[in-house]
Amino acid sequence: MYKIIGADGQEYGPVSADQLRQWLTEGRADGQTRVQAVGTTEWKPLSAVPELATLSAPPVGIPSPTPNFSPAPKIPNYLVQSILATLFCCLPFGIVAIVYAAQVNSKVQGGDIAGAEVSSRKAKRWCWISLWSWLAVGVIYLIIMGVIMLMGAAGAASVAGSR
Amino acid sequence: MKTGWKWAVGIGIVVAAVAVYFINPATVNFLPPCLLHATTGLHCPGCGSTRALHQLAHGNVGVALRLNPLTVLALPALGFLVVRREKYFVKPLWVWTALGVVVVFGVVRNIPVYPFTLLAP
Repeated sequence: MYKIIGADGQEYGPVSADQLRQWLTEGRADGQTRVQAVGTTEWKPLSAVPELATLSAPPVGIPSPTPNFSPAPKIPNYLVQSILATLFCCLPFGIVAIVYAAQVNSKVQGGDIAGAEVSSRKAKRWCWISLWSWLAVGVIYLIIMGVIMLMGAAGAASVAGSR
Repeated sequence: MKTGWKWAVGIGIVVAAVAVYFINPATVNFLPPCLLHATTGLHCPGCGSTRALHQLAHGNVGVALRLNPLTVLALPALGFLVVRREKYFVKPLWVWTALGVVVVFGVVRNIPVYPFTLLAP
């Protein structure tokens, strides 16, 4: 177990080595991040911890990115898309999308990151369902209008021809 | 967002803006109607939004507000969210409030009694 100091100067943890590796792959911690093994008093760069160093070694020639650790990862809530879908697609699906968008932010605030990601995907899905159903209705409507106009034109032509 | 998507969205917005300016949804009949309104006669929260955008594009804010106040008021809020999307975490209470406003608006604009009739498009 390790504690770490984030880019914001705050102390986070203790977390497991696996969790730290996860943060490394997500770019929320890097080789320069200060870590302290639980039970010791020494803070050292993450790259100096053998258990973690293999993943943290920056590729040669590429400067190490600045640490950008943040406790709450940004999860898109698709609120804007949901509201646009409600206002312009005019189907109840947009409302469903807004409900999931609201759930995303509630869960992020409650610390339920995995749950927030599930809601985020659902919000996205309902935005797409809303858009595609609106497009489908629009295309069907255009076809029906086209057929009616063609039949009207044909009817007018046959009336004119019979005279 | 991928570059291809950015271009698609950008071109879509420009095409939509030009169409909304030149086509008056109140006078043409080739635009698809609202499915809810066509089947039930009820006004959904978005009914009148295209007509409202057309009026907004011509500077008639009052007429636009009359057609769909929710759309007119939501535009600045949505613009703010798009611009600040990387930095701004919307408090859950505000998102639930937005949901409540949309639902309540959708209900009250169908009440056939003054002053609620003002909200119908």
